[in-house]
Amino acid sequence: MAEAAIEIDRLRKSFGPKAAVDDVSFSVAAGTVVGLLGPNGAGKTTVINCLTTLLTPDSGTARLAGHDVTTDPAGVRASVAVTGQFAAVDETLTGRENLVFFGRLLRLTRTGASARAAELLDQFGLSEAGDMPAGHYSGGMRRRLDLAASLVVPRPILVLDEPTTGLDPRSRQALWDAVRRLARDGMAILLTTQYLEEADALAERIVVIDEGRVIAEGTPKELKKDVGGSVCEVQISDAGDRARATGALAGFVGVKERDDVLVVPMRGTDELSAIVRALDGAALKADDIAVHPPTLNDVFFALTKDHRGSEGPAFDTGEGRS
Amino acid sequence: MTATTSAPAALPTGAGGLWAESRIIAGRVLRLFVRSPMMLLATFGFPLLQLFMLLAAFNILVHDTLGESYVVRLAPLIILITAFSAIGSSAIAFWVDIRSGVFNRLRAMPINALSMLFGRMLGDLVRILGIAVLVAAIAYLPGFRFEQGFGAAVGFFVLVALFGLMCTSIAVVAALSAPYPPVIMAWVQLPTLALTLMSSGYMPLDAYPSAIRSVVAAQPVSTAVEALVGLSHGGPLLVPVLATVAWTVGISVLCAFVTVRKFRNFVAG
Repeated sequence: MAEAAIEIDRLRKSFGPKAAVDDVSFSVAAGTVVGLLGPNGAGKTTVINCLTTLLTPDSGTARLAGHDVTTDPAGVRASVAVTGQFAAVDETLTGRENLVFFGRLLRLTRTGASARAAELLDQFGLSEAGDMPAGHYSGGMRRRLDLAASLVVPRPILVLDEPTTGLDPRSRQALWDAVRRLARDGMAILLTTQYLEEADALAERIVVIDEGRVIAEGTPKELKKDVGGSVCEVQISDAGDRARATGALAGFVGVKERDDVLVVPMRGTDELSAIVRALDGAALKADDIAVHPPTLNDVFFALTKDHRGSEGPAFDTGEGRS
Repeated sequence: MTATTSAPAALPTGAGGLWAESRIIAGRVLRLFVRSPMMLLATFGFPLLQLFMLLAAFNILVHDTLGESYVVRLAPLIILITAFSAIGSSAIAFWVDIRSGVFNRLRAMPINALSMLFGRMLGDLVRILGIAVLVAAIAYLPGFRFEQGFGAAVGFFVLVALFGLMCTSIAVVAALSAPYPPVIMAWVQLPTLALTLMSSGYMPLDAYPSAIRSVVAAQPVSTAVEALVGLSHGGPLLVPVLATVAWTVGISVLCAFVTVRKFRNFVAG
């Protein structure tokens, strides 16, 4: 098989004594979306910055479309479209002017840049707002303009750093549709996100990182299977009551305490009444009870526990790979 | 957080496109400028207001004591003030720019990183010169004239360009050095105000106390005013022109050293 569009091998980057990225390896094939998942500070953005040549890795290699980030950064920059965490468009310029500006910088002629801008505005549903200053755009429109600005010149690889953070559900959906279209058109897409839901909706494969290391890799289905079903969160502010509740819920497997919340994994919805009965039996009153499907937090709780319990410097990342 | 190694993005080779890229970025700088009413007001409207206010207040006084029209020295001074006032606004705009997402996008694009710097400076130069031409044209009304011929008029604007180069060089250093924007105004406002007020543009040199007269005469705004007066109205030329070139080129070169070092760090992230 031909080399994957993004090929990362034992990437390492430290800031002072602290390793922000520690031995990260994974790959992204053309026409697929891979989600890079992790909490704040996990090292996602450092990985992205190494891939987009904004940072030089300390060791390891990263090849994008065959170009090595260390030895051929210019080749990498010519192959990768980046959409960062914060919309990188000029708020004083109109959407169209932003696109023309980036197009001109990438050597499109004046007319070529205008034509491409019109095309992109249309493609991202911004035609009507094209001549409005980007500062007046909604969050969702701005993110779409930002994405469009990355695509002024066709590239084989797209890197999206938390593209929907802070967006309302409808804007998020619109952006997801755009990303899916780009993957269908053959782009290799690497997406970082804090939302399992987002990785779930878009990514064929998910790489979970924490503290700079890959702690799990697989399809969304595989990862969720590891976490289990929905969880019930029982919030009890009083520490004494919470301790008694932990005792009352001893019959449930895998109960964890997260701040003032007891997280109870559920195997079925009928377990909810059992949980409530157990609390009632101990004459305890919860401040709040909520049931929700597994979130990144839950994946994370499950995964980090295993990870931190394991010995040895190198965590085995091979199991999820094909 | 600074990277321990310099990034490959630092300063890529292949400066062939540098000029083209700098021009495009300068175009953006100018576009942002003309869309900002505050900047237009600060660097054009307010100095123009000063011109007419000061003329109204002191023209007769200066004319009576000096025997020449006040506008002859005031118009060149106002042109230098417009260049000075570009320092603060440009520095703040650049400060914001190099910390913005747009800058990061440019860093990740296959373009020469220096074009962000040169584009800003080129844009500043064009706007300083453009405003100088406008002010000179408007000052025609109260009697400002180029009486020394076409060559001298060209020389006039070449000197303004050099002065502008010094201003944008200072602006860039300020933007790269300031921890946050308000600091820039504190750094820039008082020195430029002192230099303009304590120059031979506001008052003829003879009006200053003899103790500080030589200092006033030697400072860059005074030498530039004298040179510009010489190139428009007429008067001593060689010494003020040479002094102005020395000041502006000297300060610009000094700034360039600082800029190269600091900008490299910025590009490296």
